[in-house]
Amino acid sequence: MTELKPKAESGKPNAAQRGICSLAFFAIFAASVSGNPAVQAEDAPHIAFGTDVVPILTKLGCNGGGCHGKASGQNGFRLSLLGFEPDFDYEALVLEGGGRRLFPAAPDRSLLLLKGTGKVPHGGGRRLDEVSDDYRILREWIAQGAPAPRADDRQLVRIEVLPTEAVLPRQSEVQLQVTAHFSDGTTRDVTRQAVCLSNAAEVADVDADGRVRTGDQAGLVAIMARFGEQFATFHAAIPFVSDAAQMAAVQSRLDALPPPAHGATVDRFVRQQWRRLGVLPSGPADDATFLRRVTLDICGTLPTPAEVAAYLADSNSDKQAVLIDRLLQRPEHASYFALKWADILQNRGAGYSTSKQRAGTTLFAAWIRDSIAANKPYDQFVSEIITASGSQAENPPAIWYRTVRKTPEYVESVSQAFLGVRVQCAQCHHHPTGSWSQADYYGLAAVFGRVGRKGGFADAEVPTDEIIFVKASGDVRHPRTGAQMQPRPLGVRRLI
Amino acid sequence: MPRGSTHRRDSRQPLHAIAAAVGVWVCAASVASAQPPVLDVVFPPGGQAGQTISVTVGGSRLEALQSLHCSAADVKCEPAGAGQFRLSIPAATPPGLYDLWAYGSNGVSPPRSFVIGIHPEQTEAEPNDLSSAASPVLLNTVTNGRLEKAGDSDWFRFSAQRGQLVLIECWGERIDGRLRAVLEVFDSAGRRLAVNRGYFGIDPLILLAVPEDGEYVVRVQDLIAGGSPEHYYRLSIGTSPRVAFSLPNVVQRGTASRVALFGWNLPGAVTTAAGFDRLDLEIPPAAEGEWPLPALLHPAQATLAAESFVFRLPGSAFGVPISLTDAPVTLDNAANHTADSAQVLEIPSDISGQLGEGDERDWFAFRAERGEVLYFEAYGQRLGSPVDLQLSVCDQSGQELVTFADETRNIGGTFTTSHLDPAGRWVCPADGQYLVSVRNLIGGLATDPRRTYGLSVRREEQSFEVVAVPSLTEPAALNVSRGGRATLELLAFRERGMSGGIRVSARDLPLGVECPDAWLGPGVDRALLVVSAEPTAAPGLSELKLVAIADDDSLAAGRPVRFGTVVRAGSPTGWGRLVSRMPLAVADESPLRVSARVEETLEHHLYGELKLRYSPGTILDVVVDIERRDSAHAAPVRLIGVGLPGVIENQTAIIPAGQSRGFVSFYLPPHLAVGTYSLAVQAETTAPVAGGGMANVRAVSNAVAFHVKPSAFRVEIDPFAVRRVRRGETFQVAYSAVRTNGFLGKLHTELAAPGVVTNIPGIRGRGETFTGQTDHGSLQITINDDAPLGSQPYLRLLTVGVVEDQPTYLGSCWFPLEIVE
Repeated sequence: MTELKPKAESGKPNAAQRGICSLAFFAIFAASVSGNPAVQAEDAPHIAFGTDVVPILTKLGCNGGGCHGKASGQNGFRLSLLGFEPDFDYEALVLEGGGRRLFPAAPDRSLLLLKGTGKVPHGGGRRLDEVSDDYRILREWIAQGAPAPRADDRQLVRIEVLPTEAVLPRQSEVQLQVTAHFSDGTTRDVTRQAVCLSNAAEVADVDADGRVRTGDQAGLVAIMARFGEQFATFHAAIPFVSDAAQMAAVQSRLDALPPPAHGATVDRFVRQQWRRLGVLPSGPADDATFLRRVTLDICGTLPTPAEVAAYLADSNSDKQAVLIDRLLQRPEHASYFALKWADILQNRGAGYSTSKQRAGTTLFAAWIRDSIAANKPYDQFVSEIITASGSQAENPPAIWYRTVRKTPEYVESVSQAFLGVRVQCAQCHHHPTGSWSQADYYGLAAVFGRVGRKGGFADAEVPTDEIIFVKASGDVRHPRTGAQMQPRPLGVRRLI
Repeated sequence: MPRGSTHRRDSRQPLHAIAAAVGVWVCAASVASAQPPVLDVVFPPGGQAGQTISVTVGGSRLEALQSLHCSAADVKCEPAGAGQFRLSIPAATPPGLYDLWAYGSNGVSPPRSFVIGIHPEQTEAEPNDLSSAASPVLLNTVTNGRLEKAGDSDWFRFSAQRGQLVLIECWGERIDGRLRAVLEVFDSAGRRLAVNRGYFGIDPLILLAVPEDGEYVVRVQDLIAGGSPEHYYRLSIGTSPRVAFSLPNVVQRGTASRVALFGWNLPGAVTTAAGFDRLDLEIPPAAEGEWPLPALLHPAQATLAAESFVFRLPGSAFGVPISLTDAPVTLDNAANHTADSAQVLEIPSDISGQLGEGDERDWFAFRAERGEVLYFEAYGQRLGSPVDLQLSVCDQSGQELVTFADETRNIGGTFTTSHLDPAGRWVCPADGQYLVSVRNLIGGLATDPRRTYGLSVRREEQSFEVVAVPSLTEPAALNVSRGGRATLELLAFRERGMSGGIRVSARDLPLGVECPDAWLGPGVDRALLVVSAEPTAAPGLSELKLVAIADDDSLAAGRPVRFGTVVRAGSPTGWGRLVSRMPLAVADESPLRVSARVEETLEHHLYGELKLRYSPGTILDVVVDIERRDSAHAAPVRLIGVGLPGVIENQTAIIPAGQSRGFVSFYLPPHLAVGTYSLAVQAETTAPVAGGGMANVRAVSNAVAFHVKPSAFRVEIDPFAVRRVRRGETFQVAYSAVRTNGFLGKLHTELAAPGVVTNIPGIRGRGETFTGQTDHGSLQITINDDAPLGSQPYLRLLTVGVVEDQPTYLGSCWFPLEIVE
């Protein structure tokens, strides 16, 4: 008796159906290619899916989070968010739905182009002009038989934006050029295929062709260009002065300022930005104000009247530096910055405030404070936390694992607390505005794949005084590919 | 119905519910007058050998105290006013940790730690809460202090010279205190030079390499700013030798051994790269059976402690525990970090090693034959080493065959016996060479020479230790009221496949005190020991000595039973430790005496007086007699089994008001191993108290032993048999009596109740006999019109197995029946 199987979900054929449809598609396609003179032209440039087609889909917004790039897709058609997974997109575009989206025998009759140009109803409206380069490239790719990404396809290595920075007057324009550099050494102007975004449109905005226009506001602006997985940035300064004479006057006054104390690097960068923006700094704070500010900033407290009096009476020229050094030695400095770090490391009172848990919270807080007081190098500080093991009742940094308990928490806490980047997006898809892929995310997760816990007890429903140890085994798998991930830090190919 | 009692079967232990309903229960010993004392604080918590010191005790119910008793020999005690005593410590007393008990007319208290040292001691004097008010301390002195209120901190100052290594060590938790100490040391300019929040467990240690001649200040405070009289401590500041650990940590019994001691300020030592002094020396053979060990011993260390001694370097205040073994000792050769370079060992072996590096793994190679059974046991946490060991047996290529688990089973409640050291049994699959690897799961990045371990590889050499504890939930002592009883929980630590029965017997009991043998049946690791005092027993303090003997004579010699106490009650942070001995106090009078015995005979209408033979699949009837001191008050008594083997379902019963005898019956399940077991019955009732009024009273019977012999058949009632019948009804009950162990004899089944066969009031059943291969049948039962209403839970089917016309075997099963109108 034949078992009745449920039909595949609408628009989501199962693997067997996809295979059959794909074979049928390629059979039709092979027949159609043989009779298509356009495809037979051997001198037609090869259109690569990953580096030529996908960026157009991105540029047109097809794979945006509000359209086919969202997790559930749109009307049965789903692409990877912003085209970060070309293999997935190729399957969706070419193989899914029995290959109905492309028609190599008559490329202009392909559903992809008909929808994009609005010739058949399209929920996303008309996105593509028939006479545009984008249309031409898509049509050509279809006409070539919609070739799949190949192992020997040239790879996008980086993109470059020129100019990289500029000082622009208000109400002015500058054209950006985005150049893609490929693994075979070739380059291509992808300005029109790149997505360009301004971080301060009120200061300067950018259009689809890469032309930057400044407005009436002065300030700093960054224009990010994205093509494929690569990013590049153009930085512009729009001065607060209105003409060259004023700029010269400001810069002359800046040149007259005394050099930064002790050649401070930060001060050098700050001055450089003043020059670009044409701004003059406020005058130096008086001694009492400086003392108040610096004491608050470093120690989180106000100076005592005696300290104020002593500082005001001090006539040494380097008294600011001496004061700062002294403040850095004070226990209040360690306590104040330990408080900040306790927040970052989630050494919470809330949720861990019972009498049985208070010892752990206090122990970790004290360890952080001691580390800062000892001026422990940052890499050592972080290493001691991440590699902490043993009883949380005895080894303070192991208490970090009290709050940070699961794979997403390991990855996101490490990246945000210690690396200053947010990679949450890459848990489900490639980061839309960063270079973090799911492989990066789960590669970092694999670093923690063998973190084990034992012992302890649940106090107020919260595990307390666990023992953190290294398990003999434990792996992390890529949620889409199922591949076992090799542990590696963010941005590093392999863990050495 | 059974004589004199109503019974109820209840798989849940209902004590909590009962206690909640009637309020707080008190033990029988405490009804007539005050309860036994509880000692929370002895201050100072130690003294110098050769000195007489004054100590103050704190706790509850200490009004009638007469003396303090120390486990160190010849420490003399004299009362010195309310709550105060003078202790004279002989000069020859070896330094270390001892126990101190308080004794008075109400009994003896649970112990508190008391340290005997070699250095001069002083007591902290307030005010010393500020650096500017720091108390002066000379080097190589011990300061006894306490943080009596929340937020308190104590400051001390000492002078030291450049180049000296000053050890600043605080004892808090290790001496039963509540203080979680934080130690800080500052220079004369107020700069903090060091801080420590835990080195020996959570007790801190600072090693101060003195940078300049001058004065230094030490602060002691609680981690969470706590404070109370129980936040006491001992602070030692000095330059005397301090041994932290030894290698090897196990030596062969009866021989002199060469060991390396690691510590600080060890005379004649070389300093290692890790900052420890190393002193190699030969130590003489250890004295046999040294006990007590003057060291803190946790429950999980019971088996280790029984085979250990403490070696103390002259000039040091504390010794280092070293284990004893009969097997050859192998020292980790430090070149065995890969499977290819595995160190060869013979079986049996005791290995002593070190995993200094965080990711270090030590490999050992051994030969074994197919079918050979080996036992592997690692020692790390139980040695006080900061490791969590993993132990794996691998084939010759290093492919893992088995990894052994930690001992996660806790048989002692708050007296926690679980630990992180793995152990296991391995059966060799084929002749050949195999590997065993040891690694540390919490090594981290740092190197730490303290990470020592032990590894025992043995064949099936069975062993065990038994520890007796007055209570597994709270600090308690052994106080027996005259005419009453007291209990000790027995915990069996079985090693290398020892699963047989263990008998625990008392030795040298004082006049008027009884302690029948208690049995830990096969595979049983908890039982109850009951100590009784005759009404005429003289009040006083003596010592309970127990010996444990394997039931099957596989281990010829008896082993002394060790003792333990819960130091801090409460779950999950309570804890316990081993103690040096178990004082036994006879005090007070019991308002209730409960006696139990196992029913040994039964009058059968067909077979006459049956000698009862218990086997898996029978019901054990325990007869309970109540003697009330005030016979005029005969309240109902609730009975429940205590100290039962875990596989036996507990039961309760009620002795009605005015009666003094009842039954509690227990079903011995078919999978119960053959052997001897014991249990007791706890009675709960009310009794008059001195001065008028009533109190809830709880008393325990004597322990009763019963022998479980092989069964010949198993009786089971049809699970669909009728459970609820009306008066006057007649019905059939289907049942089976399936023969086992080759039994072919006749089987006769009757309806029965405790002490009664067939003649059950109000219920008539016609017996049935199976011959040949018959094993299924049914009984016809009639309920009389005057049958008692309600559940008849101790009703059962009783089957007699007959061999050559002699009633030889018995089997029974419950017949739960409810009679309604």
